[in-house]
Amino acid sequence: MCGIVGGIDTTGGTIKGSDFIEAISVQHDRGNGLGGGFAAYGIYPEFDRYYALHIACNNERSAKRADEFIRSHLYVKIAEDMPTKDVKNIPWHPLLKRYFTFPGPSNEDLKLSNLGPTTVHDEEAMLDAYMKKFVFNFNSTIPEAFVMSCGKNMGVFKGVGYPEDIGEFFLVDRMEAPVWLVHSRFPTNTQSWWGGAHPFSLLEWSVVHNGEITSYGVNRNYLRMFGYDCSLRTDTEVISYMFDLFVRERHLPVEDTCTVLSPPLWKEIESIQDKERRDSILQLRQYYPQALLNGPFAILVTNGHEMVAMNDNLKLRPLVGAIRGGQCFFSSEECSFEILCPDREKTWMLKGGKPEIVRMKEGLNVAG
Amino acid sequence: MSQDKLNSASSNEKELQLDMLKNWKRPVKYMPVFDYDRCTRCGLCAAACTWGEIRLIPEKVEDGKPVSIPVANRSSCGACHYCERQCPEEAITIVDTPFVSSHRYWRGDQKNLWRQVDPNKPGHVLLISTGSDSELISYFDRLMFDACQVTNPPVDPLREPIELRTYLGRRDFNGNTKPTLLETRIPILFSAMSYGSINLRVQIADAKAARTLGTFWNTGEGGLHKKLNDYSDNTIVQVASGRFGVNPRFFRNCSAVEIKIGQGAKPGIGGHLPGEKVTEEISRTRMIPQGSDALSPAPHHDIYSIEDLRQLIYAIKETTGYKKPVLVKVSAVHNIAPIVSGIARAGADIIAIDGFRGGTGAAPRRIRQSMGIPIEVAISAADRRLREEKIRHEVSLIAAGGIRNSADVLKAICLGADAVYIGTAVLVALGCGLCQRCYASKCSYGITTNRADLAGRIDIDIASQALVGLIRAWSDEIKELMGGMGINTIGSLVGNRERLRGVHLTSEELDVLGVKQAGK
Ligand code: SF4
Ligand code: SF4
Repeated sequence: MCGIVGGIDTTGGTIKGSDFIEAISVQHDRGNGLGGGFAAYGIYPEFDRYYALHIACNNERSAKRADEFIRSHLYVKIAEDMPTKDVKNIPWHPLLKRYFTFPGPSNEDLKLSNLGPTTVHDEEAMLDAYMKKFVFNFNSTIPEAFVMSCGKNMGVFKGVGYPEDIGEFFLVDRMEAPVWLVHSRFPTNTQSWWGGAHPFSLLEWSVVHNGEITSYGVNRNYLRMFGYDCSLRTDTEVISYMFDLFVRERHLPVEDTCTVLSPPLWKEIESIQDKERRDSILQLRQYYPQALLNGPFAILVTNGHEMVAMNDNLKLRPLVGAIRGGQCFFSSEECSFEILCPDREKTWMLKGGKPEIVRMKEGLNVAG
Repeated sequence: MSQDKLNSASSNEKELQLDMLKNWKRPVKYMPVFDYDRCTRCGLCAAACTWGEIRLIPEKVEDGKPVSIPVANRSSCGACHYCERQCPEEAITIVDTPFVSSHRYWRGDQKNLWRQVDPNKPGHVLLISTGSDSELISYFDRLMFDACQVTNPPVDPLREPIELRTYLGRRDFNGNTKPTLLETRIPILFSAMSYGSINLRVQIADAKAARTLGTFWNTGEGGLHKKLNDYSDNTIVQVASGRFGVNPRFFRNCSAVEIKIGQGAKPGIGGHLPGEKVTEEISRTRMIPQGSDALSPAPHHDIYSIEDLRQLIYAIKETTGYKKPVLVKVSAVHNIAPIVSGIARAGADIIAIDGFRGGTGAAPRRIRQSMGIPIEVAISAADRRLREEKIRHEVSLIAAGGIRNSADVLKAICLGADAVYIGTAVLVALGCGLCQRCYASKCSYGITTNRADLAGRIDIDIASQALVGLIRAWSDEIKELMGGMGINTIGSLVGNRERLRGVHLTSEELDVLGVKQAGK
């Protein structure tokens, strides 16, 4: 099982963190207290040029090594302890740090980072690529420490516990943000650890996931060829990497990326009347069979500007959507909408394999 | 005993001319045993056996007509079971008559050694057909699939679509040209079997079945017979070292071209179709004189390195206007991984790897039994190397050699193949009793023979229906297996070793296969 909730205010307004804590708490039984987390976007406007690193370290030693590693590869604007509050139900937590950083103390380091020239399109892309490489290096070289998130003007707050306790612990109830993802975990495949909680995040992309990816072996092998190390011992991380690879690196539109990850059946593709559309979907499915996600899943993915809600073809996991004004919400269960948007105009069930994409400032153009 | 008696014994021996090598008799391996109570003396078995094992001897005269009774010659039965399966009265049983030497180490080889000193054919290299029957373990048998329980629901193939369609070829993201991919409805293709090694009727049945199923058949190295021009959408033509039948028509009437470097049953060995088998039709299709031996040299005479292979690949691409994918088929050998990587970089779109169990029309016995490596490890090593070199998506892999059933197909795919080739399974579907004597061209089932009377034993339509039935059954089984694993599209299994576990394997073997121990 697992419970997921997400929300986006397309008008640029914000939604309260406390609402999301309550919205996930009414799905209490979908989790078992072994993982909960939040991703919030637009929370560091004063540092929006810097990559915000959220780091978890199991002990002082790893925290020290992490600090050295970060400082030797990145310019650090601010380093601080993550603000937290003692919560009865969180008996232990790792050392949690927050850094606002920028790639490379000098340009020389950028050159040294061995970036393949083919993947770099402009300066921004180069900086992103550097950060990506930094994160994978960090996760693989610093024992007992991992990066929770590294995007600009966003952050992930997650850990082992029920999400309502995790939310209280990270003071999520005091935050407001236009875009949110929330997760309550019931781990089945892997042992619980702070790094295994959701959301998973790489640069600007974050994902929450309910389900199991049976194609994980294939997806991981494919991602490895393009420099993504899957080191967090859970299948969900591949989803965030796929979005990073296809949207950020290969410049595929989000719609096409969704098609790659969860394409229509061959028969459905053949029955598409518009030839151009048919050919383009056929080609996406022909080209990227190893990126297709198999197994039961409901996922919410966002980069802070757009939010994607997607189900597997067979719709083996629940996912509902709701609209109120310029706000759009998604959830595993409708009960969360009673907290988030009791006065909603519309509630609908997402169809298997038919993603919904909601964009900032573009109005709500969803199937519902 | 008196001296006299001893002397008389030796003189007796002279009279009877006891001499093992002069009175040579092949050791009997198998023989038909007749149930004469059931037998109606119809004589069908004697006509059915093309190997001269059954003769009819006069028994009695009934209503003025002579009646004959079948008896075994105890000379040439190879246990093809044709007579047994044809006998209308079910009066025949083929029995194994193992020649049991007291010497355990020599048991198997003694018989083969005797065959090599047979005074009728002394000093010959032992030939054998079909894939290796070596008693080495099969890795397929030691791999088990994963199944869904609770945390993840299985998919019911009767209710939900499970998709087997596969595209094979080079997926190049950087190039501007749209790659040509080979579309197959099922990840099972029919392996190369040349016209000459099998007869035209079998090839037509093969091609017809491929068309109905939406997959491909492969001409093998014997060229493309005119009658098969129509099947171009489902035909892979093969260019081997003999270059038989390679002409413009051949390139026009195909969907893809395969360069055969090697064959699993006989890595590093060429081919030899004896002149007596080169009939008029075969000579025309192969473009060689009638009655002349069709010799395929061991190496291609223009390929002595990877650069040469690249030239041939591009020569074929130029010839076919870059519209047809080029396959390269190699035997599974020890350093298959770097070989495959080199072939991918040389421009091949699809690489077929043929394991040591792969079938053959004729191969030296010693080669078949002791050269090459199992396909399971070869495909896994190749897949892994291509991934490490970050070019796995640029080329498709086909596993061949020893795939006996639908589970083998899926295991090969989980180990890294995009699709598989089957050859022996095709022949078995048409009746083949696996007697391993195709080289003799006397196949009683009419499969690996060009004698018109024997080839007539194959009905093209029935044979192609049998093949279609077989592959449909395998597809259904594959869907069941995939459903159990909670996977609804075959692409999600290519190289998905997570869905396999090993039993009874050493940690080194697990490591090469890239598979975890069961329970882990
Ligand atoms: S038909 Fe086959 S099985 Fe029967 S006697 Fe002849 S060789 Fe043996
Ligand atoms: S094809 Fe014919 S000769 Fe060859 S093994 Fe099968 S039954 Fe024997």
